[in-house]
Amino acid sequence: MEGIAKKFSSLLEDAALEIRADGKAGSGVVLVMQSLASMAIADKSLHVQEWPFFSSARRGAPIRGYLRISRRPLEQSSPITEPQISVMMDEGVARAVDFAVGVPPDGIYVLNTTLSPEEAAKKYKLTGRVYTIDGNALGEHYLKKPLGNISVLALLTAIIPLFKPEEAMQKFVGVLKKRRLPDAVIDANMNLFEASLGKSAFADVACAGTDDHSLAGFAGYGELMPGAQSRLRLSRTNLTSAYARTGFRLHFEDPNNLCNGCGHCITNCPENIIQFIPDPTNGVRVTGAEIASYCKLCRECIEVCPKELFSEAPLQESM
Amino acid sequence: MAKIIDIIQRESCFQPGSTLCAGCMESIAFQNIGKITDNGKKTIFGLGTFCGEVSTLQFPNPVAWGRGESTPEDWTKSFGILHHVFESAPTITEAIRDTVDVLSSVGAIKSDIQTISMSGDGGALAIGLRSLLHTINRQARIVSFVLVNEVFANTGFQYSPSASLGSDTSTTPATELHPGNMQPPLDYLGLAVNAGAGLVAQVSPAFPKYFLKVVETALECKGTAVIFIPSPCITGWKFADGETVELARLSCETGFFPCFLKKKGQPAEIKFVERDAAKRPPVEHFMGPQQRFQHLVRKNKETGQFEVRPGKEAVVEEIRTWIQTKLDALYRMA
Repeated sequence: MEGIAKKFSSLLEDAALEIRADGKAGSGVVLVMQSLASMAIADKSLHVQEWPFFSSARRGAPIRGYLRISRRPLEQSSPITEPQISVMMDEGVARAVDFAVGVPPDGIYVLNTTLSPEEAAKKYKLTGRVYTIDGNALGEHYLKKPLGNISVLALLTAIIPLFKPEEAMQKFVGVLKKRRLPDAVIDANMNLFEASLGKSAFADVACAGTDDHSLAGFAGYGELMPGAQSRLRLSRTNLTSAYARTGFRLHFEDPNNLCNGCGHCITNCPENIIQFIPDPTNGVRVTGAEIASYCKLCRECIEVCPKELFSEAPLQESM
Repeated sequence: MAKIIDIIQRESCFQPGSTLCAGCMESIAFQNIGKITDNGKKTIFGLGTFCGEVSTLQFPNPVAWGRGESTPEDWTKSFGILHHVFESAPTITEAIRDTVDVLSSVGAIKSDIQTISMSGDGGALAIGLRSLLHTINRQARIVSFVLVNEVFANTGFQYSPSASLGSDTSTTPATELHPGNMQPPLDYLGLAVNAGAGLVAQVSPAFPKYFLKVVETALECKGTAVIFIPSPCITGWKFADGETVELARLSCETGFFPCFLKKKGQPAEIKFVERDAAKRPPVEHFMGPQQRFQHLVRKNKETGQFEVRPGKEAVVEEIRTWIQTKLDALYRMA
């Protein structure tokens, strides 16, 4: 811990302490980064820069939050490419973006996951110090929602030597009050914050290969100018299956040929990914959906199917 | 008229990959419209700014638009998109229509082209009402889709002129003193009819057969066709996953968004909703699942039914009266 404190204080003097957080829209990335920024800005000698990066993101889309803290005036305004601390707020987002890209070998990872630090390092191929906390279970207990952001915030205030967890809690109350939340919710958040302190585990690991998290250079728009490309290149490039509820996916099963060709799932699928074949008696027969690439698990097909052929199943991820 | 079973097997120009919320009704409407317009004619879309535009057309990749594997030279499968600011969708589409007409008259274009404008209810009814009304007044031969989700969903769920009575939006928050929005919504159906539109309809994709029929009729309309599509907004109305289609159906049956079709010079057609309040499902069934009405309706823990919160009966009664007045006005056109 002393090593980290020393490194951070020299970073704050000479350059900037840079933190990057990856999460889904709605998983609380912005709240965590804003809270950290408001805690840091209370110290008059610190310069703070905080902004979330999302394009036209809707609920479930991967978003990124950036935070720079320094004792020198901050003159950069570029995205953070080599953060000292990389935060992963939601395991589902790890399927869509590489949260470890650009983190130096002595960097710190803060992961909201059920895995132990060693398991997580093996799974995501990390090198550095890995902190893990099971924020979703804590959130489920205190807020009745699987939200890990408060636990991650508590862990971050404990790691970053600028903050003291007790003072941080007072500042955090202020942030929540600004958002006009009911008192009961603020109390539940406070209890969650207190309970999260000391629930984390960490390990120093070295599991990354040399090419695992290299920064991909800009490959250009292709032979043609943007907008003049073929339609095939333009459409179907954004894989949206990471929007689905973390740990679950859609499941289609029709072993007894129950599909009656009513077409309700086809007309009501927002993503237009239901696969079907023409059928002489019923018109169409549904054979499945492009679940792995595009399904956001909005549950419309589960609700409208009269034969209940669609269901939600736990995601089996290969380690 | 094509059969529904044939239409659903067509290729939609709206592809997966948009960044819209999971279960968004706009997305369902889009892909159905995309399938109907795959009818052998070229289509040009004029889009105003709204959720469905910013989430599908991101530079440099219009991630969610495209149709088929054929080359861009295939006239019948290709389509064009022109994007303009919030209020300009009907106007810019009218300009496309005029250009197409001029090019057709000199013989530069041999086949017919369909022109479709799309905008949100904020864009079409708040910022761009004049644009919509003047386009109708000029009898431009376009089909204008307005996706009504009662809020400015793109910018943070602010009040829009179509917001229902009593709804809690970020600019009309429900407090002790104010039960949400108390401004009666704009009568947009009446406005469009009185401005002289060739076809005015309000129809939800939750009734797929009727939806496809109405949109096909609108594409053949000689004047301006305006179709309002009620789009339950999963993030703005705050309801659980998988209830979008059910809520869209209930919104029609309870009278919040009655299914309505009126062609110029013909009596209106009102479907899936009873004029008699006793025969309709109670408004609580529609309001209950949504958090924006949580200050008015709650779930009874014992019976599991939705009921009006004590002390809020007057507001809910006002909502019932508003719905009845609206339905009566629509039935007078029938």
